[in-house]
Amino acid sequence: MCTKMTDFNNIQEIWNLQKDAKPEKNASELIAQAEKHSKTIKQNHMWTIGIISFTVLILIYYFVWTKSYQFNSLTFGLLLMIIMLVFRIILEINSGIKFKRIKPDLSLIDYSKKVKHFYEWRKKIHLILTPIIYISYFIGFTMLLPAFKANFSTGFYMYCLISGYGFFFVFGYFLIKQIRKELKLIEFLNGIK
Amino acid sequence: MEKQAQFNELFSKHYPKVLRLCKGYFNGDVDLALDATQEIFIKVWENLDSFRNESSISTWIFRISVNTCLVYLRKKSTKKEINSDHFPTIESENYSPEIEEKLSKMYACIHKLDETGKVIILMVLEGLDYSEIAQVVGLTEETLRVRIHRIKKSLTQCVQK
Repeated sequence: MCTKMTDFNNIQEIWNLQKDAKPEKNASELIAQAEKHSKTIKQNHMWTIGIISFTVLILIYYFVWTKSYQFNSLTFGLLLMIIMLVFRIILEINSGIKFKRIKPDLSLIDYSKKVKHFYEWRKKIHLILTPIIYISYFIGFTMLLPAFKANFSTGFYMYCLISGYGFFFVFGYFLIKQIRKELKLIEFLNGIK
Repeated sequence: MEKQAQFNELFSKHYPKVLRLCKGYFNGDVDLALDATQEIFIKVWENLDSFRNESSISTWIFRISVNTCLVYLRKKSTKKEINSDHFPTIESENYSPEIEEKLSKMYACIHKLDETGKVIILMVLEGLDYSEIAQVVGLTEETLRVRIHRIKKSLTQCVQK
């Protein structure tokens, strides 16, 4: 026991050898950065809400202006894409707010429990809502294609086709990567006891 | 203005401790530790109004520090991972090769502990009271004592290898 204590004292001595590093930023610069950070978050929220509202208004205006109260594949496809996009954005904003509500000054065990709970909620979204949103969005896009083919040149139609489906796969790849990362995080948080 | 003065005081008093804790947590990676410490003090500033004196301010800051470090790497979109076989940028702090080797070995051994063990021993090394560590982690003091005993044993064995 005495030897162990001495050994640990050696580790303590090594620990004490560390030099005190000077902060890269002083307190006032950090405060300024914190203020800027919260201002940017607020601005981003305002922009997102603004863009969603604008999109919805444009959509309503489009329906009124074209008097297309009866759905055809173009309007339905467009509507489906926009609704899914807006739904996804709202979901992400809600998710961000939910995470921000987890207080960072909880004890380590309580904090990890709350974070784990949050990511388990995200897991449910990823497994149920995300596939629905993802598939609906691209069903919407596919419904637009006949109208694109009829109205655009072959070159531009091909561009829409390739970039649209290309986006589908690239977006899917990043989505899977993100989901895997979050699942790993749950696994990691399970180890906090 | 009073808040700013309080923050200035907290910053100058706790910055070195928090940075050392982060360095220990991130296997001696100074760059990561500096970034995480900065994020911790931003959180301290943002949450200072909600501090209710339910614990000491030091315990409160350590809670924020530990929780920030815990999710810091995993939230980052970068692929930066800590590799325990490679010792990162402590050479930038200009230690003698002998001290650098000792520090690297100590960081690597700390890094091999489980997350809670890592956090506990870093606070022990930083000289926090057991009651304070128990509050930061959320364990009873008795459980903490048992764990500290085990962690010390495993850490000394690793460093001696």
